[in-house]
Amino acid sequence: MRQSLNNLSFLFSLLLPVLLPSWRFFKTVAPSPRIEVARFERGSDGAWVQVQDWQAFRPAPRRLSFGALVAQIFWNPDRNAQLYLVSCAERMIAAQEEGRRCARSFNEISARLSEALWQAPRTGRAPLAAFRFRLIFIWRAGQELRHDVDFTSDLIALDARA
Amino acid sequence: MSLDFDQARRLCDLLLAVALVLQALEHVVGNGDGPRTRRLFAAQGVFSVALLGGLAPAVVLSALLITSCATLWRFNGPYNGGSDKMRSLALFALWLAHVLPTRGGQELALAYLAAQLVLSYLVSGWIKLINPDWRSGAALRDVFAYSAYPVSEGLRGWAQHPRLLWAMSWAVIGFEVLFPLTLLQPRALLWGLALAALFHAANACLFGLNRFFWAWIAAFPALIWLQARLLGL
Repeated sequence: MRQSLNNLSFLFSLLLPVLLPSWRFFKTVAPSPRIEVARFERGSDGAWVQVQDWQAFRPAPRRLSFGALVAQIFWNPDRNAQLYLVSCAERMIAAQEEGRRCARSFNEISARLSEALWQAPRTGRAPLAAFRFRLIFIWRAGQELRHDVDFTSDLIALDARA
Repeated sequence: MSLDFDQARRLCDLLLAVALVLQALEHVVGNGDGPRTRRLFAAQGVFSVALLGGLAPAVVLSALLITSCATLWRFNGPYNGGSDKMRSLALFALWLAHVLPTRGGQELALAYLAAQLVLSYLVSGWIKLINPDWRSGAALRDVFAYSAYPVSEGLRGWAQHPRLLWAMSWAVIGFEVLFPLTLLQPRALLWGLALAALFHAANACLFGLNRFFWAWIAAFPALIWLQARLLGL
């Protein structure tokens, strides 16, 4: 009964801003998150070794043709998924600043990274690996753009998928 | 061009169905979602096709409301912020516009959707107008310089053109703040809506916000109807 009431209250908290939206788009340009990933593999002594520098997860392409820009109006799943991960990163850091842990957003990011890394082509007989991700927030300080690492995950093993 | 209530409601149904089908396809065919989420969006796709065909709209919209709540739950809130809000709001208003027992109640529901459409531009424009960074073009510079939105790294170069960004900022602010005035004259509203569609298309092309385009134009017929209703056309 108590769980049902909690669920109902949670659903209501999700619905209210939908039915009574504030429409305050771009009130300010907030610090903007990027997700970076680094791969780890087990060394000969069994310890985890970072085998790859931190890399942006699915960075935007250098350029897009006019046709590709227009086609996005009709079909843009990867970009929308990327913007969803940006929302998850913002929710994680907002929770962190309030002293909470946003497990759902963390799980969402790690699950999608895990899936992407698992599907990525591997060279030779590379062993099953692990990864860490970090959230970098970019913001303006005067004329400079600052990059702050606001979160770094523990090792997340891909072995569990084997 | 004016629409009566039934025409406006049907057109809103059709445009919303297109928005929902495209969203469902992106989740079912695109990468990233698990099987349960894909099934949820497959159901949304089927119901949306039924809405396109005009099959029992009250029942179909009820089913779509349930899938909409389920996706809000699944993603712990909106998947893509404002576009999810407008799409769900349109869904809720159209559902009421079909299920409420009196024509007065149904008209109020459609009028609520139209009013929210106007507010979406007015409020959004007003908060930019009172922000000095938007008035100077600095806010839009930062959107291009470091926000997550530009769809290619090449677009970040726009941050180096302050005059262009100043002009773009004032074009957006002017359009959004003045949009409610288009309600005074039917032809002005059509021009206003055409400009709005162009604005959303530009956001889709530059920032990848394609779902905003479809969610917002789904509410346009409601506003065309409301204007005719208010002006007694």
